[in-house]
Amino acid sequence: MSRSRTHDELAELLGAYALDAVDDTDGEREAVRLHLLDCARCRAEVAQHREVAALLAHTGEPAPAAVWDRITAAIEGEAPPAPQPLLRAVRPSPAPRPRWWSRPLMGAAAAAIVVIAALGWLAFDANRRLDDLEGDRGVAAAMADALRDPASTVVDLEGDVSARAVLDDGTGYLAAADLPAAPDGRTYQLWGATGGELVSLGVLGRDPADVVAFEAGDVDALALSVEDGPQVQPLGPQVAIGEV
Amino acid sequence: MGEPDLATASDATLVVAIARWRQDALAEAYRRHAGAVFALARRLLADATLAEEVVQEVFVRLWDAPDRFDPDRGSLRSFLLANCHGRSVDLVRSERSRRAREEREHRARAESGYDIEHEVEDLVVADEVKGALAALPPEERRAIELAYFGGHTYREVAALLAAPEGTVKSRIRAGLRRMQRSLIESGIAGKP
Repeated sequence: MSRSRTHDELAELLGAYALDAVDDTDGEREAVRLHLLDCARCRAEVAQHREVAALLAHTGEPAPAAVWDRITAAIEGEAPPAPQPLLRAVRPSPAPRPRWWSRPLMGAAAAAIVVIAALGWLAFDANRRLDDLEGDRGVAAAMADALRDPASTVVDLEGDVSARAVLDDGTGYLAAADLPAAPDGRTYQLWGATGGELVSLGVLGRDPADVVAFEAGDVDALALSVEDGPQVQPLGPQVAIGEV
Repeated sequence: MGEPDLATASDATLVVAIARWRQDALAEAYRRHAGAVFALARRLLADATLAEEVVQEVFVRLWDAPDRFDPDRGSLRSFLLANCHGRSVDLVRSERSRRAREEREHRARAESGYDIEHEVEDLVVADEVKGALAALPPEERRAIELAYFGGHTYREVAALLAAPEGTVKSRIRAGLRRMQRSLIESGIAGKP
């Protein structure tokens, strides 16, 4: 099983090794691994190959929101934190819209939309959610205030699921306590329609908190869909919609 | 001086903060890199749920063992992607994903090449990388694609390409070197 290999024989494997393409047939992978412990030059070569590979993998997808909950749960050893801070609105890139959006409610075709850097594109602010454990109680109280405000607008979303939202001076609150948990690996996403333009108002996660706050802006309608992960345009099924 | 501003912190600073139990530092690492990790895992596994599990493992591992990252050895992104790739390939080689992968392989062979997904954040980089890959001699490119994105061992690649194993090994190595030179030239990759 352990046959000695020359340095050249091992070096030949370095490209494949860096791409995880060497398995342990004949103890090959282990032989390379052990060699790397001793050989700085080969270590450097593998590191360089891995940098190239990382560039090959270079894509601009946004980070999946639901997974972050599970990460914090795993490292904290407790249930994922409930609070939902203010969700950040994003603008989708120009792309054909799914059929279920072409209703009279949505109006004319979207105007040109500015694409924002994917780096900033996380529909929830992970920094804030971790530090702001007060947020949950605060958001629920804020929604109650908004409901009492005569100037606010209540929007009832109906469909496969229902939820009530209230818009108060550009801020929206969605009572999500009664939303059933989405299927495994899926997340709720909230959308706002502004004259035919579609905006993601935020991602609620698989099992939304009791109340979520979002920046409503000037929307004509709100809708919920169920997605595999945060999207810039709705891909999954619409589960509720309400006109403002 | 106060705490470092995480949003602009270097990889090394970020990981030091993670090692000091700063969860917001982990969150910043997640914000920067989880998308790429997820995309790579999903491409390899053809399964978003499995891919999410890999993302979780990679970042929990970063939290549990931040000392594994050596900033002199490479970027945090390539470290995370390498972990992701290794883990995904282990899963790929298990029976669960085999069928999905073979289906994809059939489709991949029918296409003229593969598409690096549009990188909204940095179109220039994606373009240069795509160009560097396309400029490779086809046999080097195919070997790299099958190994990296197909999750195949070099022996499997040799079988798929009906080429000797030694040839495949050197094609992968030469192709990676060629891409590295080209990317250094276009300023995308740093000099070693």
